Amino acid sequence: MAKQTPFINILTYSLPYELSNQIYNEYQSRYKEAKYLIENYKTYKTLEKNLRPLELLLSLSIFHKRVITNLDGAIKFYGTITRHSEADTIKIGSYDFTLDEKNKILAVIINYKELLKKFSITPEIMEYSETREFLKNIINLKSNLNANRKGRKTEDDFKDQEGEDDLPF
Amino acid sequence: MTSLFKDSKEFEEELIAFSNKFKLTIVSHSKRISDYFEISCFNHLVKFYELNDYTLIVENLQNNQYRYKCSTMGIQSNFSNFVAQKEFEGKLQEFEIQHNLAVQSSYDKELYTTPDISIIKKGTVVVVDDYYETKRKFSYVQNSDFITFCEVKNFTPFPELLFNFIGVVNELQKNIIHNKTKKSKLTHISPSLMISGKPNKQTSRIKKSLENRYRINIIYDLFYSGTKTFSKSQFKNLKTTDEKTIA
Repeated sequence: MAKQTPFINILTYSLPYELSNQIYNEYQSRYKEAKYLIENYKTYKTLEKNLRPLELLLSLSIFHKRVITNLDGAIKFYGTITRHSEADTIKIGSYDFTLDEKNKILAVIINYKELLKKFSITPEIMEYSETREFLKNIINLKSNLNANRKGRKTEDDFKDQEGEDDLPF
Repeated sequence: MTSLFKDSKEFEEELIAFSNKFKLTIVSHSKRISDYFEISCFNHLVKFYELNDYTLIVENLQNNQYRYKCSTMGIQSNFSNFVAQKEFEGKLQEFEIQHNLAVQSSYDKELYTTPDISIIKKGTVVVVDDYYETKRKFSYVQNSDFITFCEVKNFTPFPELLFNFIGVVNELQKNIIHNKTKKSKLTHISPSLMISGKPNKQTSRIKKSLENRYRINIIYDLFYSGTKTFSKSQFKNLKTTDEKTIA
């Protein structure tokens, strides 16, 4: 069977090389680390059968951090400018960031948020520094989704179970 | 509710549909991602002044456009900026929030460096034509009219980046390094390094040490925490120039 294309390549397709390269490198390094942790530490074993969702969420989280948050920032600045002046365009070099362009980005952000909501993904899940924090977020998400499905509230069953300080990361 | 763990195929299909639908917009704007990051940080700073009860106005629109100076090139008067105003002791105090304006060194009047964002006294940008070897004009602010600055870095923090920032603080505001600054009457943000990435153990330790030594802010993780750091409930945690000297 042909090897499946990493999902990150779909998200980064056609992006400028420098940006897509940064995203791809971060993804590769974190995915490798995540797999190592899952294979070698009991704490993360629960994700062993969820490698595809994990790959999707990892890809999305890196894309969120490096692309979506900056687009959102541009919209916010546009709001600040129009609130404090009569300006309707921000000129960045030779590029005109107009109302029309702002609305195009706004459509991206709105649809992106709806997508997250549909799958019960809160932006906090994407807030992590170390890969193991990301894995913990995913375990918590999985646990919450299971609890909601069963219609009962479970305790956050995630606890560090082994000496993580000894991890080589 | 759709569980992505139960049916990751559906999640994947939705992500692909999202990506395909907005590919054109995302690709066209992704060329300017670094500019957008810098703009976001500028926006946070404008918000900081707003939260500190300054009145903000936009100055120097060009044909009804806000012209953002996203490089060190060009004369300041060709670009737009914000003005922060506040009444103090019966007098209107005004400051400009500028981007990419050259600032005179605090050691040597003939040296300049260009922070990403500078706060200066209003109307103090100087234009000269003897800086370059040609007659090309150069705009800057004298150190005596310079209030504070922010550096914006779209990177994961690393030690050299943090120590380089201290070098810029030393060049532009040597009194901060020597802990000889005077408490200002009005609130301004202390010199700040704004970084997009999250710190590791080492860079967290460096931040703690440098912030203990000098009246500066090192703000990590702007991608995620920017809005929170500059929110109503948190902005008072930032160091400002109206505090007492640390030492």
